[in-house]
Amino acid sequence: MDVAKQLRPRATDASVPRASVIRLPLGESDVAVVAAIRSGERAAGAALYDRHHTYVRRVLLRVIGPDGAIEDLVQDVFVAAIEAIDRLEEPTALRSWLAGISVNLARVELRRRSRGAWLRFLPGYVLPEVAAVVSTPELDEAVRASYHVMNRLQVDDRIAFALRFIEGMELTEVASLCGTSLATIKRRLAGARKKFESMAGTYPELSQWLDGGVA
Amino acid sequence: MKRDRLEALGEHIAAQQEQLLARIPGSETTRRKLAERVALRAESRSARPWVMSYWRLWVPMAALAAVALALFGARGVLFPALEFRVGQAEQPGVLRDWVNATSTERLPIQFSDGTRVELEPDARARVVAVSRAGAEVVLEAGRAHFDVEKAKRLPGEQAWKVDVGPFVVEVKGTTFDVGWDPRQEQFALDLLEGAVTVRGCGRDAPVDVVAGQGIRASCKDGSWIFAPVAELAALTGQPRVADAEGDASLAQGPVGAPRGSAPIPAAPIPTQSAATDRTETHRPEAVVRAPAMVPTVSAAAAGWRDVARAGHHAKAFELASAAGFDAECERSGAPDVLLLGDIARLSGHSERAIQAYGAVRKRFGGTTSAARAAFALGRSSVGSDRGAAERWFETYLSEEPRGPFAQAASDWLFELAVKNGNPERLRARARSYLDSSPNGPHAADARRVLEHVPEQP
Repeated sequence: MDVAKQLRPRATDASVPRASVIRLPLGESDVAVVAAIRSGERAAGAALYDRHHTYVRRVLLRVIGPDGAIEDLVQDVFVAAIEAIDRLEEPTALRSWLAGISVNLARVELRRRSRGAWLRFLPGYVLPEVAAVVSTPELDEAVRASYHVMNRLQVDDRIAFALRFIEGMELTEVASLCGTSLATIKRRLAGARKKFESMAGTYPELSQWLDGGVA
Repeated sequence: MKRDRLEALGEHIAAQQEQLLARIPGSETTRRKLAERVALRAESRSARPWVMSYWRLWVPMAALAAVALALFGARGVLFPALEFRVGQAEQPGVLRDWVNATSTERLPIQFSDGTRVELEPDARARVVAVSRAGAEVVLEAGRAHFDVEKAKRLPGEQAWKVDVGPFVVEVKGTTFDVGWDPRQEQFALDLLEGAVTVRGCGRDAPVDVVAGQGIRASCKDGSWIFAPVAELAALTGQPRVADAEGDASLAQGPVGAPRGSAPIPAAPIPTQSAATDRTETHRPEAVVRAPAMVPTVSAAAAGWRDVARAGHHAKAFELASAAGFDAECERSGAPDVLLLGDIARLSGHSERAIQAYGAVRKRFGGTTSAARAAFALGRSSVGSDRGAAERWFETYLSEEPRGPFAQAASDWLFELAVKNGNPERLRARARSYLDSSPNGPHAADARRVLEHVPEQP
């Protein structure tokens, strides 16, 4: 009996468009792109971007939320990947490797912002032009309110929360990207969910969802 | 039901973001930049030094060596010894001359490298030697504050050194208060920053002191008390050196306004209990803190602690290795050896981590630190030896059943049982898990095990 398989968390509802399939050009593969970058072919940089920019942007969007800094971060992820390409041991795992870089850079960005928040208490502090949650026609109040609440979570809790509940990743994948054990990620998610639900109660846009008005 | 609704909210957010993503095209500018980045990377790699021919490599090295030799030979000319000035008027100091502070004012001695010594009222001292990177100061009586600039020394150069009666304080760039009462033969040191080594008064082994620690010693009664500065007053009844106003043993005059020196952080207290020196006889309350029982901590070793606490594990591991990893395991206090294990584990040196945690088990058996080391040994063994990991987690739970890592140890034991796949043991583990953690992270899985995994005949 494969006990580990039996205990694997259930997949979420597949009818919701959570992760679109990226169509790859015929005759290309991640292995070929990685090899081309390592050998210095200019076109490989563009090919890497073409193949994975939507996925990288999606991961960043889930964690950070709609934000003017996303495009800069997308570029940073690819630059970091090109610089570190020799450390990628398994080229077939390029996609999850990029996800790991994305999560790390998102963590750095979120920590930078949370550090910046302290500066506001110092005399003479001038509020910088902060990239607020972007208002777009595609996003309703519930989404914006959700990220306002997530802004108040600890950075590591927020990342785990976004990857699990918004991106719908498996627990093992979340644990791997966060660099922790499965048990730790479960504890982290339990804590984040509790805090989120507690704080969301003050947002009418979210209480509708969490108390049963919408779902 | 709330969990389902939270997932529904997450799916709603994801669906809305997908619409947003569909609207964002790839950036042509970024594509172009990344193509250039790949080309730049290839160019920089092709220009690496290892492809240089031998003459291009060796000729500059030989030239550098020649310059270094010339500089070494001419160091006396190129790097003159320190100068110092005395008093507010900054009179040029004279080597080996005694200088006295008056009974009402402090007397500053300013060195050309930025080092400043401030004699408290009535203190008496003299500078007996100087080099490019240090000086030797004799404090005959009273109290003094030292703020020593750190400098790299050339071989054979005089280091900063303070002779205090029969004690010698070797300085490595630091800030401290020191006092000496020749009548009572009492020595006092409070280290505010950096690290120093103290020796003397018939004591063979040097004592390394780090920031936040202090010493109260007396040649007269043979006591030697080494403890965090914050605790010294309680242990000895003596105030801090800088606050020793009216204390006949060290202060011979009033102390003026505070200098505004840095606050003294609490230092970790060595917990080793073996005690064999004279301190035991005269001051039993300080025995557990006596440095002779906790061998020396070098300035380099102090460095890895700061770096580790800043979260730079790989760098901290490098520094600890440079300071002597084995020696650190044998001489540091339990919290520091645990920290040593953590930086080794987090920087990917699992064998060293196991060595450090093992040292805690061996040296501090029966303590909380030993229990924590058992948990850490379990963590370190998960990937390589599941059986060992299980035993260590069980050890931790037996030693600290309500400790801060008890839940995590139970979680690990359950996960290891799942990985091992032995149905009988898995059922047993699920039962014990639910007994101890009915609401733990794996409680639902444990119930599913008991529900779905059949009992063995």
